[in-house]
Amino acid sequence: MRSLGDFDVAEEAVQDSLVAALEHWPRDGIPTNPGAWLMTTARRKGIDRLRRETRYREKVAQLEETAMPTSSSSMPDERLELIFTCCHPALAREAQLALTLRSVAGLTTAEIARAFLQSEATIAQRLVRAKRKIVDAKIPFRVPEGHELPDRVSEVLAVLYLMFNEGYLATGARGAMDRDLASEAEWLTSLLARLMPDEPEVLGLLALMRFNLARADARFDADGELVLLRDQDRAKWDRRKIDETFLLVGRFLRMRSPGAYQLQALIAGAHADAKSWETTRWPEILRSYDSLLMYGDTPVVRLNRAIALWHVDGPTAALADVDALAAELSGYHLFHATRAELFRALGRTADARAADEQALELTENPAERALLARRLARRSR
Amino acid sequence: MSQYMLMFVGNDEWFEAQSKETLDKAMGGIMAWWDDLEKKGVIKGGEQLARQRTATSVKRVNGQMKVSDGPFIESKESVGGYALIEVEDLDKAIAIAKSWPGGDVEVRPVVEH
Amino acid sequence: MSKYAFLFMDDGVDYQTDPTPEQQKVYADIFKWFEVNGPKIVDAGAELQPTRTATTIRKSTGKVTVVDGPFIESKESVGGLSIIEAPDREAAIAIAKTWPGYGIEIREIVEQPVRKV
Repeated sequence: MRSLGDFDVAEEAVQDSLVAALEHWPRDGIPTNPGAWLMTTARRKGIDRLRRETRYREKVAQLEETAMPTSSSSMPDERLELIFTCCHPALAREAQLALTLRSVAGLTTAEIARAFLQSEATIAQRLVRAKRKIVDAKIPFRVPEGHELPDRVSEVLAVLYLMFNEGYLATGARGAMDRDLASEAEWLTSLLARLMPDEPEVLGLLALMRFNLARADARFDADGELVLLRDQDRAKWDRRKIDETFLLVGRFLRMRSPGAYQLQALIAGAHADAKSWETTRWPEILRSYDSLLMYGDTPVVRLNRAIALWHVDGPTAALADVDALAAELSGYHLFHATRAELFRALGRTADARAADEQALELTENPAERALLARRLARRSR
Repeated sequence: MSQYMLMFVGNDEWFEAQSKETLDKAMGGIMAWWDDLEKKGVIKGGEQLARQRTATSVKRVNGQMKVSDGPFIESKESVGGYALIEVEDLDKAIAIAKSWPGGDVEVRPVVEH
Repeated sequence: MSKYAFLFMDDGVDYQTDPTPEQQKVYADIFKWFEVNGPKIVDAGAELQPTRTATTIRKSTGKVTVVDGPFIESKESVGGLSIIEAPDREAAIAIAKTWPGYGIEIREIVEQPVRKV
């Protein structure tokens, strides 16, 4: 016990040795000096356990440290371990988000708070609670094994997707920030892609993010107002980034393992490739939405599919599909905004106005509110 | 190694609506699950609990212990049984909970003194 | 004699962080209760960490999903469990009434058929 500082560890080590002895001795025969054998293996196992527990404590401490990229001593495996731990399904989604931004991306609590428009105290508390759960419930620091990977990778991608959307939809009208959440999400996803180059869904999500980011300069006009995809000046799109991202699409297509993020990337790619809204390959997009529904038949995906249907089969067919979603989406501003677009296409101006008003009532995003308000104001002139 | 309690979620309504055949078959699956884990030395204890509606609750109200018929918390779902397991970490505990042939399972770490 | 599960209930206050003198007294009384009732306790069971450490496996959605939190969201929760042996329900209730904590839910154990090992 003198050579091991920890009584519990010593006790367990001896226990382990007895078990090991029971396993080895029948096979190898009883050693000539069983006492010494027991003590030696006990010592070895004790040292192993201490080493494991010290490593665990160091890893928990690491959650406090700043960005992994500046730490040159961190091996790729450690960074992967950290990402999977921060995105463990036993943690609430908000906790996963905050922990990933803090521990993997190295954002300060203040930066995270600003990005999510919450108080620093809220974020600090969220981080403390998450770390406590990791320790108290003993969430291990490890890269999941093969059979666990699909679910665990999905979890990480869900966190990164949410991070991207929070950043992508929120920026612009709010003004410049120290760290752009959308870029952060893209950086983390590209890190994940480097660490796991054979995961097609990771590449899919990365491609989706990059297609969206390539349109960044066209999303807001000179007055800082949001511009819809349909009205964007495509000359402002980053063509080089789009072309590079198509190489990424080629990579995941060759893996022949389709998935939801890859399909969303194909849809974004179809838009990125089109010279104009009118010449967009809508039938291809419609087919991608049909496939996407097989991965998750949700009202929002059906809503987006309806917009593609509009351009393939006309506004009447599309409106019928959109109206079928009323029960589930009546609280969603884009449901009403889409109905407004379809009413306008059908020449039903009064209905269009009413729908726009409902949309305005429901949207919280300042840039989207401004857009809808402008649309209503224009029509009343 | 750490201990976790697995609480198997039961639903009285569902239970009472099942045929004897369905319940017997379910029980068979549970016995097999239990035997397998006992053999592996993972299970340290556990019991099936009588249904929630048969419970009696004792609660401190204004310093006094008051007795009442029925469960402590009014809810459709309740603890139908539990297993105390000893495994390396939460991932191992979750893997075992996922293999439970019944319904939902809550995994809670035990206080280690 | 029958076996009863005592589900020791928590009132939602996290005792583990920094117990007040009152809470410490309750803890001490609980320790004594286990000593006094030791002979009746067939299985000491376990004291559970608070619900903030819980993780639930959900199957109700069709898919198997792992989520943060206990299976019931409520202020009160199960804080521990032991198995008691008592002549009948009345006797079990009498024992439960001496519990120094917040409360107990008493449930009979469903005896398993004796199987060949």
